[in-house]
Amino acid sequence: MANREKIKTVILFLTPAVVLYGVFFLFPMAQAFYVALFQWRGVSMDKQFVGLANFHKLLFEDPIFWAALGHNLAFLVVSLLVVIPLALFFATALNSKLRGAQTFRAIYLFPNMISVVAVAVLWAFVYHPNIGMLNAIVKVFGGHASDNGWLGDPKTALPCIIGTSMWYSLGFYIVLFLAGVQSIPRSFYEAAEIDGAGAWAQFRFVTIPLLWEILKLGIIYLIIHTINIFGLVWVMTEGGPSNHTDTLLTYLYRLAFMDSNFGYATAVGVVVFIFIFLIVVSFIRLMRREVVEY
Amino acid sequence: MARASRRGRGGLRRALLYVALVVYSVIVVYPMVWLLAASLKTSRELFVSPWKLPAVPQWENFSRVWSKVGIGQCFINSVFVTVVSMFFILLIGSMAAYALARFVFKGRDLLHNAFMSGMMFPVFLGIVPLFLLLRNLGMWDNYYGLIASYVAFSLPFTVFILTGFFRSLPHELSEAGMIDGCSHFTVFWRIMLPLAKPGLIAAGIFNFFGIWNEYPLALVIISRTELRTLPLGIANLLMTQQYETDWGALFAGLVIVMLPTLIVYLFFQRQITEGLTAGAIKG
Repeated sequence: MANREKIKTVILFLTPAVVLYGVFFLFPMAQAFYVALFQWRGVSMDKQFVGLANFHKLLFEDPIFWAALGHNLAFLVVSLLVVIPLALFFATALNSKLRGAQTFRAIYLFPNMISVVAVAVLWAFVYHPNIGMLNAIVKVFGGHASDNGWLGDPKTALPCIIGTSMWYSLGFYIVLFLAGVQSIPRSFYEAAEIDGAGAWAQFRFVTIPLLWEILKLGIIYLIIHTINIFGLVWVMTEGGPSNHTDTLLTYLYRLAFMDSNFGYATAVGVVVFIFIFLIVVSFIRLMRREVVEY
Repeated sequence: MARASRRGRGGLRRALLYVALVVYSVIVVYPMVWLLAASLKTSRELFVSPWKLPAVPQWENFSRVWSKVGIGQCFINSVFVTVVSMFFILLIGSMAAYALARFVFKGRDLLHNAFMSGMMFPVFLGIVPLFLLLRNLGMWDNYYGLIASYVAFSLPFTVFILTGFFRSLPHELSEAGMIDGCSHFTVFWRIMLPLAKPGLIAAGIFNFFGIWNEYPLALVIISRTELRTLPLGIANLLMTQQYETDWGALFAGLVIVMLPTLIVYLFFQRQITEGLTAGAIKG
């Protein structure tokens, strides 16, 4: 009796979540792997099974796809080289009993709380040719101001958006690493100092090894975020000028919702998923081997 | 001697650290201060003296963007969508999390893993099938589709946070409730849910930011002008106002999107930083 009551409760409690999640999340995600096998253009319901042809075309005959992938990798590599070290630096700085550390932390995290669209619009004006901050700063230092706007120039557009994305996300990684650094016992540093370790040696031999797991987590977040970048690019340039800032997802969006090329667009989504999966798994493998050394 | 020079070096290091911290604060804050000033300027002023404070604050920028450009409607839409979505996410999410955390039944681990795996899928993987599904169900370009999608997409993270909270509550409490003759539902509603309030607040805060700021799903699901949420409205404003060069209004619109997030952020700052890192570190 009590058991039947329990089963009834469990079903009652789980049904709404399972139905909504199953229908509007898991089902579309699973269906993607099927839709990607069709040539499916326009709003008509006629779709033609083409097997792996979409993937073949994507990987071997589509320069825009490779350009977009390259741009995502630029986001990833630059962020790895700049965001992670800077975040580590600021996290250790905020941990060293400075006055106002809480305020700095609160300021740094705020960009991450604003709508990506607002960030994109704000920075579109930083790079604006007439009223932009960047042109004004460049002029002060006697540099060459951009006449068409920094986002209108194929050479500068991508670096500009990467800069904005770092401004947006750095605070998140600072706060993440700061929590990790704060959980390292002070006595470890004191012991290291007695052994004559300077600031760098302490950072290298105490902070980094003990922060390893969180550092790994931060890098995994970074991989996922940079491969999934969409809103910032879409609002700032829509992938232009002429595909010079296209990312995998702006390309997918245009294929699906402007060209109504549903099957092919979904194939891009599947490739993105597999790509993230492979990078993250191989990264975890790679880091696991390293951690044994300590 | 050695100690003195060491302290001197430490002081210098400290000063340099401060400089770095302040410089980065300026980089973060300055664009926003500039934005605030720009939202109160005329378009001519923005052109002629983009660096000065507004001569006369143009509060009309705000009323113009609110009513004429329709950002007011977007604001109301965003409030509606956020409130309704959050209500269902917290209700449905906490019920599911409670069942997963407090009952032993066949298939529990499978269900739990199914929810957790949702955090790995990129939103765009299923975007085309979702779009076609909503269109077939008559849920495209209306709030039924948007809110159902928001609830579904927010469940993995919400269930993740709340199962943690429900697991940490002592078993004796629910047993005592059952002995007193309460039904499972009463135990959940009257005893467990109030105790899980910190978890509900944490999940609520993160879902607030997630939904208030959400852009890609809204872009795909909403098409009619009168249904636009704030991010859609602002993105559209950037395109239209660039040609009409009513920049003051555009910047006022940006302030309107950012203000609620700033208020919630200031109010819940501690919970946000703690929740963010606790969620990340436990995961």
